[in-house]
Amino acid sequence: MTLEMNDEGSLTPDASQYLTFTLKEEEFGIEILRVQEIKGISHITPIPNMPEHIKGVMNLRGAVVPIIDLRSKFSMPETPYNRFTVIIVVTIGDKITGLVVDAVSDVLNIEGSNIEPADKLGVGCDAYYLSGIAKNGERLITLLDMEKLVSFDEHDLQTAT
Amino acid sequence: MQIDLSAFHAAFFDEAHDHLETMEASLLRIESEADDEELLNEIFRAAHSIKGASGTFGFHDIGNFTHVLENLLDHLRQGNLAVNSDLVGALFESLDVLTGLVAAAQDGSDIPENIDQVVQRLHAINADGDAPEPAAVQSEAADCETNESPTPPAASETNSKSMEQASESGADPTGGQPVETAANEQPPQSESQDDAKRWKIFLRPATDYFQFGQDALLLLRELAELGRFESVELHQDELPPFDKLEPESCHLAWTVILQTNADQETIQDVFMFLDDDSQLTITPLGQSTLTESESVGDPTRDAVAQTTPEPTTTASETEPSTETIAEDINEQLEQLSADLTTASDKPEPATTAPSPLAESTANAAEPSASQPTTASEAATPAQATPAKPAAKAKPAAAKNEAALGGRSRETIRVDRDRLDKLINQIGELVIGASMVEQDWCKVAAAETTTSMNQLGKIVRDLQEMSLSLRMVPIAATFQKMTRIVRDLSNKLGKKINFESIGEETELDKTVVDSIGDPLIHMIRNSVDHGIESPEERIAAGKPAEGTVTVHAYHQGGNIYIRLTDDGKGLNVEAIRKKALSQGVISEGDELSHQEICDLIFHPGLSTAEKISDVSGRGVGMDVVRRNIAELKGSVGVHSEPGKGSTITVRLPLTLAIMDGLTVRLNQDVYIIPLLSVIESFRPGPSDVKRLAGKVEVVQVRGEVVPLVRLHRLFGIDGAVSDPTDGLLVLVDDHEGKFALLVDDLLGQQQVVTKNLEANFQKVVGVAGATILGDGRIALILDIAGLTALKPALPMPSEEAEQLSEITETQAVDHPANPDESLATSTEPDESTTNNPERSTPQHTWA
Repeated sequence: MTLEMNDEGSLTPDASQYLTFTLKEEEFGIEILRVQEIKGISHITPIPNMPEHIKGVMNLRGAVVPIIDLRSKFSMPETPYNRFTVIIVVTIGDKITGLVVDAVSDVLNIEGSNIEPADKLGVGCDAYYLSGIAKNGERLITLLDMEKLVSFDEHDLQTAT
Repeated sequence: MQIDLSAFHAAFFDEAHDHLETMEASLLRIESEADDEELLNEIFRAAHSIKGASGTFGFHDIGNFTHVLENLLDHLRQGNLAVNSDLVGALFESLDVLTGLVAAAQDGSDIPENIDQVVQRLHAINADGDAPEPAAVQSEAADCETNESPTPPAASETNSKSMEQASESGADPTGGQPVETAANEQPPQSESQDDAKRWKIFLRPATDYFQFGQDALLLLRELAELGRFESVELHQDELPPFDKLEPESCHLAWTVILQTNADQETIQDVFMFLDDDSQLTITPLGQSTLTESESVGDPTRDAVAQTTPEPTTTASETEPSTETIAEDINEQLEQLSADLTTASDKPEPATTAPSPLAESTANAAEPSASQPTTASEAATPAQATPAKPAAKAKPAAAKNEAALGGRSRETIRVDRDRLDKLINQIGELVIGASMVEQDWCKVAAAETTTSMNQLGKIVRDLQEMSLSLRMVPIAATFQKMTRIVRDLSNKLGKKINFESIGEETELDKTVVDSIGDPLIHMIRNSVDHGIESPEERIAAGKPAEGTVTVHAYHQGGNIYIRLTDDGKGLNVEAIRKKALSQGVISEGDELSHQEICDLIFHPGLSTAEKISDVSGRGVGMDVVRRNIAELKGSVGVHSEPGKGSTITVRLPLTLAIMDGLTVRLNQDVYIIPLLSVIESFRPGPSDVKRLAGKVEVVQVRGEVVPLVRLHRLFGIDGAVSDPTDGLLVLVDDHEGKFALLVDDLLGQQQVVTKNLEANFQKVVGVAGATILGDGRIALILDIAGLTALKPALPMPSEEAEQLSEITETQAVDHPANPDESLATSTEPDESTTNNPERSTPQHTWA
């Protein structure tokens, strides 16, 4: 019941809220309901023999949470982490994952009619992970498919190696 | 509001399993302790609870089957049938069917095939029991009547039980049917003419009664089936005015006068599921006709007649506060039943009876004092008197019985996930507290650290306590073993006395759950191969009955389970031959007795000369060892020819906490399970060799073991790559030893293990993770998994070439991480200098 409320809120039934963030100069969006929290970077323990984008695990109040660097994941040049580096903690099913991004920018209400299916556009990252492209005024926002993004499946492991 | 029954199914299955376990436990004891009435009652109660609940949830298969079983149990309880091994066998069989039925309802598996067969067997036995039934029913009815009428149901029920118990134990010498007591024998005659009795039943359901999906109408209907309603009175006095009426609440009460020949217990059973807040009084009103009063010469009956005119209501008045009282009563009852036992030895127990009524009963019974049953007669009123305040209907009765019988501890069912979360959080608290403590020490004055220490101590106590929450006694596993020994020894025609010691020993629930199968496998082996047939045993000069003992105990932070049999011991020669034929050992090998014994844990060895369906498929003890190793435990065997063998299993108390060696590789901390660690050392330059240009080995105490470069397996840059600069940790993964190269040892500590799969996936070579005192995560190495990792990362050929020199000490780095710009802040600075020069190895030793 509460979920529906959040989903719709004061919006038209078709719209959803997205959290947007930047990687390099591009703007990306994920469904806000997936977001558990946003936190600064803390110590990450590397896991051996993992694809480059899986940076390791972090202690999130006792939970051992894997950290994915989205720049690395989308084959963008990586930048060293600093105190402005942000981790978006998302929950997919019952699993928690941290995503390293450049910066968090906005929370947007995006109408379904403003979302173009991903396959129509070539974008700067693997289209496999996209759920669509949203237009917000002049801005174009790449919407990500979270299930695919953090599934740790074969596709995931292949892209990195 | 619709109630979704499926939400309660899980609870039903949970409870059903508990009841099944109780039944099994009692069944196992009943053969040897046949005169223990309470055992039967326990089985009956368990069966009855399953029957009742299965009806409620619509599992009619279970209900119908349990009904048949219950009939049989009832016959047993009333003494129409005697306990013998055939009957116990049938009960075990039906228990298995019932277990199968519950499983079928739970996960949709097949209904047990032999159900019809078992039902027929039960019916056949029931038919035997049916013949003498009328007498027994009456005797029970009479039991109720011997209680003076104000006696509340709880007390009277217990009384009739103890009476039966006493009379039965007393009747033993005569054998066969328990002798009916003198007083009991008379009423049946008069009763058989007109056996309907009158009961006044008052029922006021709790106001929230309907909210639990209950309906008083159903109760009344069920009651009506027992006999005839003389009158039904509806009490509307608590009915609020219409504008204040809550349609979901129950405001009504009923008084029913019931004519029935059912006994009090049957009436109470109707209200079995009535909750504690509801009020219920069941009062006997005496016979419906007055013919009974003519039966002079039965003083108890006279006594009843005297008291009957006052149908009491005191019972219901005291009801709300009875729970605490009831517990006192239990003690008194226990005391009294103890008295009763002693009393039954004495010819004149009148002294224990405090009331004149009881005295008269005792006196009246005196003519038959030569009969051992007298004592119970006299003691009945004696018990009834102090038990009066226990004015509680069914729930209280059940509690009394539980306290009298099982002396079971009170438990609360908690979802495992929730418990784990709590334990996790407390683990966090410990880390949090120690972080605060460290920070505090930097800023605070010395005198304030006392309170900090105090806090730290409390937190650690809390953690200890939280970990003990997961601990459960091993008794349930032992019980399964008892059953298996019983079944197997019958099947194999061996006589075996099974003893279990230390059933109360507690260990982690996860460990208990996983140790069951290995233990059962071992006990099958002992019974099948260890213990000889009675003839063989006698020929060997041993008692015909073999003994298998299982003993669990704590020692030094570990649990030991020791399984001993006094059988023929391991057949060393057979093992040796088998091992030879399987190529496990070669002809020339000189093996000690112990070494040969240890071969039973080798895959593919089974010493049974013929394969039975009990054991002997050759997948035995090595699986046992592997299972136990997964639990971070170990297993060993000791055997003496002709005298028997002992298998000892060592298990950690819990899987949640582990002793670990913390090691450093560059800046990362890893934990090596201490269990696998043999020693650590720094090799001299000449100790490290390369065999055939491929395999690096190191010499330690004259032994040559492979050298494994952890930094290479894990692709860690900047770690020490010269073994003479770092340290080697000698580890054993059961398959063999090898030496792990690490930078440094940091120390030894207990770590709380967490798995990576919770949020991520399994990682080869990593058993889990833990959170260090500073809040960072350290990975726990999976030593056995590391070996799997070795061939996966072949050494680069170019590198291998350079290393083919003897005594290599070059700092060659693993060619992972080709793009240096990807290095994160966690990676060391040195790596940037190493990698570009990969083609020209750098000599770091100076």
